This record gives sequence, C-alpha cells and structure tokens, in this order.
Amino acid sequence: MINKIVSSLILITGILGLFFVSCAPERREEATDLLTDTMIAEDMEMTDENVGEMISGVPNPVEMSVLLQRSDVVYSQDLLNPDGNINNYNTNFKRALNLGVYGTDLVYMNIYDRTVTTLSYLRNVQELADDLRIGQFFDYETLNRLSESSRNVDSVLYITNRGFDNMTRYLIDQGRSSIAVLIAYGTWIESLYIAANIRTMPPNKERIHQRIGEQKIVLDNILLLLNNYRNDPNFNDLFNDLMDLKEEFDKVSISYVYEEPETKVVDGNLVVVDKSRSEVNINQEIVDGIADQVNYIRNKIID
Amino acid sequence: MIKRLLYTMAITTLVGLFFSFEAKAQCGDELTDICHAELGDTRFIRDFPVQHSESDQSSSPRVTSYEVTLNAGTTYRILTCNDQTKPGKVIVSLYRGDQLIATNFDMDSGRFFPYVEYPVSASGRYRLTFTFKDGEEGCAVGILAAVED
Repeated sequence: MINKIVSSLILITGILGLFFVSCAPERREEATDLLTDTMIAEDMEMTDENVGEMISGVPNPVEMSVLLQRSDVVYSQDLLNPDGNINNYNTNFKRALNLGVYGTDLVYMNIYDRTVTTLSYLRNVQELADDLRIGQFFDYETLNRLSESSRNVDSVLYITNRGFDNMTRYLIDQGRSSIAVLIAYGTWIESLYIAANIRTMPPNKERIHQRIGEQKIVLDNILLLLNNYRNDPNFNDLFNDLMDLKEEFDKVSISYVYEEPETKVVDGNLVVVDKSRSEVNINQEIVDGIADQVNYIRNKIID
Repeated sequence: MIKRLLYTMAITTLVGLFFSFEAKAQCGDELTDICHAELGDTRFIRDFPVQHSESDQSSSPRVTSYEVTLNAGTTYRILTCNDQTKPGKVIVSLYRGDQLIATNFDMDSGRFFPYVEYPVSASGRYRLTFTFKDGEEGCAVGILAAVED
C-alpha cells in the first residue's frame, strides 16, 4: 500500500517537474505595433553576431553616474524620466527604448543612494521587461529587498547590470537584436542627457565636458547599429535624429598620441603601463549645442 | 509491468532535472557570481561569458570578440574565471585597433595571470578577444570592472 502511494507521488512529482520546466511564462498584453522579432533589412550587412560584438561598446551608465557623483554633482530627481510615463508606452519600440532609459535612471539613483525612490523605477523596469518577454532576467524581488539598505548598493548595481547584459545576450540569441539595440540606445541617450543637463563648477565641469565629448566615439557605433534596421520607419527616425546630433559632435575634436604599452607584474597580476594619451577639445558652446539636440531626442523618446 | 515502467520514467525525469541544473550551475550565471566575488575593490561594469567546443585539429582555435569603450582616467581590471569541469583555460586579450595592449597569458612561461589591470590614458574603442588555450573545450567568464580610487 505504502509502495503504491510512494510510486504515485514520485510519478506525479515527475510529471509536475516536466510541466514547470516546459511551460512558458504568462504573457502580458501584446503591443499594438508590428515590431516583429526578426527584422531583416534588404541590404543588411550586420549579422546578429556582429551586433552582439558591437553592442558591448555602448558604455554602461554606471561609469557616467560615478563620474557625476565624484564630481560633486548634486542629485536631481527632476532629470529622470517620470515613473508615470510608463503608461504612455504601448508599442514594443517605445517599451524597449524606455527600458534602457529607466535602467539608466535606476543606476543613477543607486549610485546616489536614493534607495527609497528606486521602488517605482524597479517596477517599471520589471513591467517593461515582462512586456518584451525578457522579464525572466530581472530579479525584482531580490533587488527590491536589497534596495532597502544603502549598504547593498554594490550588489544592486551588480544584479541590475548583469540582468541587462543577460537580456541583451538572450535577445541576440533569439534573433531579436533590434530590441537589444533599442535598449542600449535608450540607456546611452539617458546617460548623456543627465550629464548634459547637470550644473557644476570647474574643474569638475571640464571633466564632465571631456566625458561628454568622448561620446563622439560611441555615437559612431550606435549609428552603425541603428542603420541596420532603417527599413523600419521608427528606426529611420531615430537614425536621422542621431545624424543631427552627429553634426554637433563633429565640432568636438579628439586627438590621439599612441605609444607602445609596457607591462609589469604586480602581486602576480599583469599591470599595463601605457603612455598613449587622448585629448578632447570641447567648450561650453559645443556642450550647449549637444545638450539641445540630446534634450530633443530624449524627450521625444520618453514622451 | 506498466507501473514499473512509469515508476522508472518518473525517477529518470527527476534525476535528469537535477543533473541538468547541476551542469548549468558551473557555466553561466553561477560562474559569473563566483568570479564577481574575486573582483576585489572594484566596480562591476560588464561580464563576457564564453563557451567554445573543442576546436578541430586542422583549424585555428575559435575566437570570440567584444567591443568595449574605455575612458581615460579610469583603471580597468579584466578578470577571468574558468569552469573547472572543462579542460579549457581562457586567454583574454585587449586590443586597440590592431595593437595588442595586454593579455592574461604569457606564452614564454606558459603562465596565466588571474587578472590584467589597465590604467587607461587614451579614451577610445577597444576590443576584448577570448579563446581557449590549444583550442580545448571550455567555458569561462571575463569580467570588466573599474578599480575604485
């Protein structure tokens, strides 16, 4: 009798196990646009693998936020995309872009230890990720719990960044690299928007201006990525706006002096000694021009 | 007979599920977590998981590349961790254009460095490449982090 019960329990457990492994997550309401998962431009030259290689060249918003904080820039909630704007995003295009935007806002808030206000932004990131069918990479429960204490900022940033990286890799593996590109673009434009609109004094101001000027390097990459999907009118629109921004960045000059690097071993690890240097030539007028165009692009995205 | 068959199937399924999780535990997020714990006083920027099957004897070992943007004034640390259940040890190399800046493997001595540290003085686009020594099957993760001042 007992053997029968045990056998039945094991059988039921095995079947349930199969069920939980194989069943798909519940789907949220589908977006209204026709952004298909595989968007192939007629003359597309970049494969998903190419996109995967290049997309990691879009900077992580952590670096810009850390620079701002260390430059004594005062935190400003007003700069961030209002959390209520999520109700406006009913297309996959808008959702992907603003997933990137809110992701950067989340990083910014965490760098500045604004743990209380992160809750609604965490929810927004989760909701948008779920809508795009990539929510499984965002550990909302753990992040919510960790966000309660400022001692956990490093862990929060690690989990958030890794979540976004995993989303990107998954999208590219699934042939949905266009979504990955939109998320990366949203991340970048929000980071640039925040940097271009802060108020600070010299010499911190010059440091931030230098970093803004260096985004000229990234912009070329992003243009290449967007160009891949220009058959879609929305992508074409983004591309054209970014070309207008490029006109402002063309006023920035970056010069390089390269020298052969040397290496030395320190405590069993390799340390590079590189005497190469770069110099960014940018002034307030150029920054203002960049800021105007970035503001226009960013506000169009979040609206 | 049928009961015995169903019983065997259930056990096989449960065992299979268990071992599939175990196999994934090394290669993937868990490996990144283990590696992250080794970073020291740094700020995590990005991880680069790499998995290659054994290369054909007649062809060159497979290489996976990623672009990264590095900023002057920041010291970066590139740490690598290997899945110990596989034979391959990952070689990571950092390039600026075609110029090799650094690699974690010293060919002369056959020594692997746990990490490479690079105080950047020229902002720009760089490239990280990953390959497994002698084209062996491997799973690894490379982590890019910024060293805290």
